[in-house]
Amino acid sequence: MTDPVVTATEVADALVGDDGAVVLVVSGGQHQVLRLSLLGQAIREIAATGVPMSRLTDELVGRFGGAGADPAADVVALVNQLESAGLVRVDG
Amino acid sequence: MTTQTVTVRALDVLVRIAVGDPGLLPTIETAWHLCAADGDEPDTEVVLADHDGSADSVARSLQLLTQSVTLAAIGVRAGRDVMFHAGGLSNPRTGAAIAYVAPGGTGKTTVTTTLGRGRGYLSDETVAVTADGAVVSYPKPLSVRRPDGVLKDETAPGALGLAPACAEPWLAGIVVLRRDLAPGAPIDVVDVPLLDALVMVAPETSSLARLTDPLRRLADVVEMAGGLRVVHFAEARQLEPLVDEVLGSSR
Repeated sequence: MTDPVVTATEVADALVGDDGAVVLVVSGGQHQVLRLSLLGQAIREIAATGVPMSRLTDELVGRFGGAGADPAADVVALVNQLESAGLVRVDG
Repeated sequence: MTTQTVTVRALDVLVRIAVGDPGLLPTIETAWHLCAADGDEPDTEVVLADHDGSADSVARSLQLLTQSVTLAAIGVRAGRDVMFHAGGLSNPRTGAAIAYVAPGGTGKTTVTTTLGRGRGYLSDETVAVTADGAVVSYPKPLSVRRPDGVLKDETAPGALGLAPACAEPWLAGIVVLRRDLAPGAPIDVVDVPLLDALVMVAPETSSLARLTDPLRRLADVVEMAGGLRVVHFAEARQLEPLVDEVLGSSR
């Protein structure tokens, strides 16, 4: 079974707060500020230089606990959302 | 035809306007009377678009001119100030200023013309805030939309009873306008947490990414102004108590 690697993408700027973060994305001369939840911010932080999905899940469960029945599926769903927003890359 | 020029001060940027039709010079000078500048070396230049002589064509040229001057000034100030797509009024005695952020066509000019008398007119279009919280005024002609909703008339502030800011303006409050209530509904003012505020106002900023530490700069401006509030309203007059509250602030 493959273990895809999640890597945070470069953003123009980021600002972290008590309840998550915002990031500035610039594309085609247009800028956009996107909001990240605490979990989303943690994923980007852990995946700064690339991390296998399984280890990412373990790290998140370690930080936040595994509230759902299937933490691995929850993390995949979150990562997919971030990937759709262009804030992480998933390889493999 | 000889091109003549008139220089205006927009966001503290000297913009030289080249006017191919000298017959329009008095119209331009009147409309831009609060931005009049002497003939010093300009920072940038724009050209008045040609027109066919009809009233609508002239109005269109003057409307485009205002947009050109604004863009030129923003281009010069990019990377220095946080610039909002916003109208602004100030307390003529203390300089306390409010910036009301909103996309085009959603109420900035109406709020300015409705509440501007007796207050300092800063802009109906662009408000720039320096690193220390000073507001750079831009008392441009007001772009008043015609009833047909297509063209705008560039109207001299003085003709609407507006006067420039006397005291140096500083940002005392910032709000986002949402004219989304039915007539007669009470105004609704909602505080926005900082990170959400940045997401909300960012689309109404210019050249944000050109700043050093842009998100920190934007956050500093919002925090200096006491946080962001969203104002849901139906009629511009409903904003008067809020404007009075902000303009009554002291540093």
